[in-house]
Amino acid sequence: MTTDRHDWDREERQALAGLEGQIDAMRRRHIGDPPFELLRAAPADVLPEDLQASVSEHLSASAMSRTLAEGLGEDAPTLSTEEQERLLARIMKEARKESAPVNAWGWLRPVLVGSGVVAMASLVWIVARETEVSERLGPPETQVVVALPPAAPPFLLPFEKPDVRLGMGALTWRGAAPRERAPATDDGNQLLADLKPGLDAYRRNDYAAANRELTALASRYPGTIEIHFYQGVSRLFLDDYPGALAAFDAADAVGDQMFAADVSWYRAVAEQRSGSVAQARARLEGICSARGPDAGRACTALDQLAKASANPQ
Amino acid sequence: MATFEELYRQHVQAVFRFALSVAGKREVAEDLTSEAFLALHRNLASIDQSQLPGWLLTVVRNRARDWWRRQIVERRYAEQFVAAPEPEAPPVESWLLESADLKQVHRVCLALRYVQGMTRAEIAARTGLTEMQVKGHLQYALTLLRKAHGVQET
Repeated sequence: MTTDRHDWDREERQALAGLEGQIDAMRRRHIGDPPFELLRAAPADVLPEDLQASVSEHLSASAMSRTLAEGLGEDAPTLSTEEQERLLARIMKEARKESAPVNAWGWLRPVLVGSGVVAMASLVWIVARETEVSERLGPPETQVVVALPPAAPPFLLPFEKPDVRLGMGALTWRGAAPRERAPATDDGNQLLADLKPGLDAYRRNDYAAANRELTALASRYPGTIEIHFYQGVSRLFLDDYPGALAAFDAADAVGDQMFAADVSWYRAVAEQRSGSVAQARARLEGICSARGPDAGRACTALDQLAKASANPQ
Repeated sequence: MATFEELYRQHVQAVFRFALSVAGKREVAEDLTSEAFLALHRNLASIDQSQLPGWLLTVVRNRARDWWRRQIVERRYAEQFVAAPEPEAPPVESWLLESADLKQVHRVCLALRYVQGMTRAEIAARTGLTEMQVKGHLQYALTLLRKAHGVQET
C-alpha cells in the first residue's frame, strides 16, 4: 500500500467524513490480499503453479478479491482507432521482416552463387554417371507411393450432453453489451438476455443454431465461460472437432474453476475424436489420477481406449 | 474467407482486453496482442477462421504464462495469501461489493484506492484507464457513498 487516509485530498476527506473508522477496518481486513495484478491474472490460469494455486484459493474465499478479479467490465479500456492502426502497422512491419530475405548476409550471395554452380555441375556429373551405371544394371524396380488419408480413430469416445449451468459471473453480470441484440432480463442482465437464444437452441438439441448464436457472442464476451463451453459441446455434436478444440481453448483461457473439470473432460473427447489420441490419453490420465468428480468416467475412457487399441477395427 | 486485416479489425479489441486483464500493463498487453496477431498472420492459410477469437486468446494466454514466469523471477511475491478474517465486513465494504448503483469500474477504483491504498496514478497504471477517468469514477462513487451513508454535505 502506498497511501493511507492522511493522503486523501480535501474532497475525499469531506466525502468520507465519519466513515474513516470503517475505511480503516476495511483496509485492515484485506492487508494480506494478493496484489491487483495477480488477482486479475489468476482467473486466466497464467500464473506459475504454486502462485496460481495460492491466489485461486484466496479468490474462492474473498468477495473483495473476486470483485477486483472481475476487472472493469464494459468500462475496460480499449484501443483507440489511432492505437489500432499503430499496432497493425507494427504487426505488418514484423510480418514483412519475417518474410523478407536476410539482407545482412548479402555479401555471401556471390560466394553462394559460385558454390551453387559448382554443386550443380557435380550433381549433373553424378546423375549422368548413375544413369550410366543403372542402364548397365537394368531398370530399377518401380516404387509406387500411395498417399493415405489421415487415419481416423477407429473408436470414438462416447460423451453425454451436459445440462446448461450458469456461473456466478453470468448470473451477476452488471455490464451492458456494446451492441444490444435482445432486451435485458427483468433484473437488467444483458448477458443473460444475449445468451438465451444460443442456450435455448442448445437445450432443444439444435446444435447448429446454438453454435451460430454462441459464435456471434464469442468476441463480444470473450471472458464468458458459458459461451465457449457450450459452443465447444455444440461443435462436438456437429462433429467439428477442431472447432470444438478452439472453443475449449477459449474456455480454458477464461479459467473458470466451476467449469474447469468439464472443459478438461470434453476437451479430451474432442482430442481423441480429432485423432490426437496421445494428447487425449495424457489428459484423461491426469483427470483419472486426480480423483475428482470426473475421475470415474476418465478412468473408464482410458480402459476403453486401451481395449480399442488392443482390438483395432 | 476474411483477410488478415478484416480479422484484425474484428478481433483486436477482444484480444487486447483479454491481454490487459492477464498482464495488467498496457504496454505488455499491446505486445501480447501484437504477438497473437503475428502468429495469426503466419498461420492464416492453415487456420479455420471459425476458431477465432479462441485461437488468438490461447496464443495470448500462452505468451502471458511466459511473461509471468519471468516476472515472478524478477519480483518477489508472497507465497500465501490470507482471506479476510472475521469479524464481519463493515457496512461500507458491504455497500462497495453489493450496491446496485455502482458499476464494476466504480467498485474496482474504490477498492484500489481505499482498500489497496493506491494513488490515482497507480490505479491508472494498473487498469489502463487515464488518471482523469480514475478521478471521475472515484468522484462519482464517493457521491453515491455519501448519499448511501447519509454523510452530510459540508
